[in-house]
Amino acid sequence: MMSIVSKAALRRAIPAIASFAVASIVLPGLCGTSAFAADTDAVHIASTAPLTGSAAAYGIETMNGVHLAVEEINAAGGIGGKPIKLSEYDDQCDPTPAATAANQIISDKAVVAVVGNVCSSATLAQMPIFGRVGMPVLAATTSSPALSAKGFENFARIIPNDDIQGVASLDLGTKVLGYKRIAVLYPSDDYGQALLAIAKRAATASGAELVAAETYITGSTNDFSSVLANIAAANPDALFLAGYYADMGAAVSQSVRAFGDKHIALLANAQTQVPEYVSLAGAAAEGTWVTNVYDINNPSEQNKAFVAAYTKKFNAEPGVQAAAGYDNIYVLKQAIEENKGSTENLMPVIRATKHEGAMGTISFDKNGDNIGGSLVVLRLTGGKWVFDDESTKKLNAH
Amino acid sequence: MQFFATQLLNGLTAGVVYAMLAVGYSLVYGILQQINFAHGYVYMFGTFVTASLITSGSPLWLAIAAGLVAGAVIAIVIERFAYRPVRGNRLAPTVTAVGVGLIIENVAQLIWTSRIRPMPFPFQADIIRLGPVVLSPLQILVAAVGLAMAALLWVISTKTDLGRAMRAVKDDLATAELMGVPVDRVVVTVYVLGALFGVVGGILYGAYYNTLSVTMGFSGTLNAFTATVIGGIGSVWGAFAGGLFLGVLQAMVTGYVSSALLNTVTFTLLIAFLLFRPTGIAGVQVASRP
Repeated sequence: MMSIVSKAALRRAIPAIASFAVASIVLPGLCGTSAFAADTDAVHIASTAPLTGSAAAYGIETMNGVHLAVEEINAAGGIGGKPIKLSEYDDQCDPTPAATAANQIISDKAVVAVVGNVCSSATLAQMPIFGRVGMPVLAATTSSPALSAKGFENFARIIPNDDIQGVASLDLGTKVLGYKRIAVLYPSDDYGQALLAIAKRAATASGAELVAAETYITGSTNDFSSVLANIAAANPDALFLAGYYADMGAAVSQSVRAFGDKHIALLANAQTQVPEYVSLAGAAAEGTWVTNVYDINNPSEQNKAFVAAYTKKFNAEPGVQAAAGYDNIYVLKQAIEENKGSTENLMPVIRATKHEGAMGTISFDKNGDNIGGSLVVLRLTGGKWVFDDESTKKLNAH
Repeated sequence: MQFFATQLLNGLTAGVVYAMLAVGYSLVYGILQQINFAHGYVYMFGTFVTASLITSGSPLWLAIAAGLVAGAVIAIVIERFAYRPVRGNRLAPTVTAVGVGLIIENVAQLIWTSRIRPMPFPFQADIIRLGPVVLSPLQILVAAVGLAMAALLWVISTKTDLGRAMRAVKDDLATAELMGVPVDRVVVTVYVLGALFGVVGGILYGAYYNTLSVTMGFSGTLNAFTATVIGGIGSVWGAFAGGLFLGVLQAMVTGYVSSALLNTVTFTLLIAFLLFRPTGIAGVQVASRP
């Protein structure tokens, strides 16, 4: 009888639920195995991230961070004595499978929150579905401003959005490094369109000029020779790589032929700071600047502990995806604890949470955007991402 | 002028790659009036065999040969088990082709994972200067291979018994069989030829663009399929013409109009051809069987 009641109705009617819960204890024979039986022995969390497809590397790394945090928390006794139980879904970074995953998640009545979201397009497709049952979504690295701008009441995210990040990537080129002519290469999806708009605004605001804006279709464009020829013909000082690692890797690899001996500095966003970008782009990637919201060399206690544990478990260095996945779970844990162990009406509590995590300070504004973090600058030097202290200080000073 | 030449070269290079893949569609369609939807997956698999052997340090010639053999073997297996039992039926081979394609893609994903990978190849970072125009040695290689493959196809179709048999099967399969043409063997050879052209195209693609993914079986052949239709499906010369035309058109749209309009122009053109000139550039008329 309880299984036909929708989750939204349940959430709106907490007193009724409480009496139902009492009833189910008093009259177990009437209710049989209720959906709440599962809630009492574990905290059920669902994850949706791309585990296959062109953004799989992001999703897998995010899930590594999630797994590490879940393992640590469960080893230390769980949240309020209950272990975390994780159900994983693959959204393929594609709105269609993402919507399917969201429908599967909301049909599982035990799930109390969703974590791990990586792709903005996929998450935009999912939010209305999660919204139907008021499911709290604490996204990892989705960064499209459209997500928070839509005013979803059940949404928050770990990393600062593209507005903050994109402006920083452009400001690094214009204000810190002094470039005046900027070109942009962006994917044609929501994420790319948002970054293009930001790049235009930030370039104008800092007195630089956007001399070329070229687009491509992620997942199907592999030939960048024509767009690169356009970029070369526009004579930019710097090229802002506003896309995903695999596409940017291919484009930069092909840029050797298109740019010849023209020197065009490469400015990239956080998405590009993965080993795959370096292996795809090869020698041409050397010198790429990245602004990010996380750096492995952050000397905070939380980060040191995270890096040590992650490196030990996965035998690889964590990137922003892993850190966001890791903090994702810990923010949720803190929120549930601050909610006195209850998983009801969680989102307002999540948004009020201030967490010191691996990424730095995480706190949210009224739309669920993280406004607590600071930015770091790195440069690809000798095939490795090297923290650039001077540029970081200059960037944060602006 | 320099910009025009650069975009023209970019377009021709992409066009040769499209043409190699388009030949695979057109050969099969020309003879069996069937769209070989598994073609893209066969070319992807062969290309991955080559790429993974290059990465693991095999000599280049061995890696390329192994990729071609893999493509041919898969084509033979598909023809035998997915197409021959349903030959003559217009719809069933389309369904079996999609099924087989998904199997190939999933097997490839199990072997090579879904990560996008580079394909190391000689000359990738080299450039040649011809006055103001910058050229890649790989573009010369792509053009040379394209010409050689076109010549090979011309020789096969006009100078050999196989070519004559292919024309006979194309004209009338049943009558050709009655006249003693070994139809099964000819059909399987057509699939193998298509697969070989596809894998050659895939290797050129990987070498020039340095990026491969298992999903390129579908998305990577959308352009090739468009080129086939534009060129005139069923005509192998139309496939070459369509490939080069589409490659150059896309480079020019990107260069002189906008990269944001690339797909709009490509697929508008596809629709326009389907509506107003379904026989394509080559104007090929394929007799339809009842």
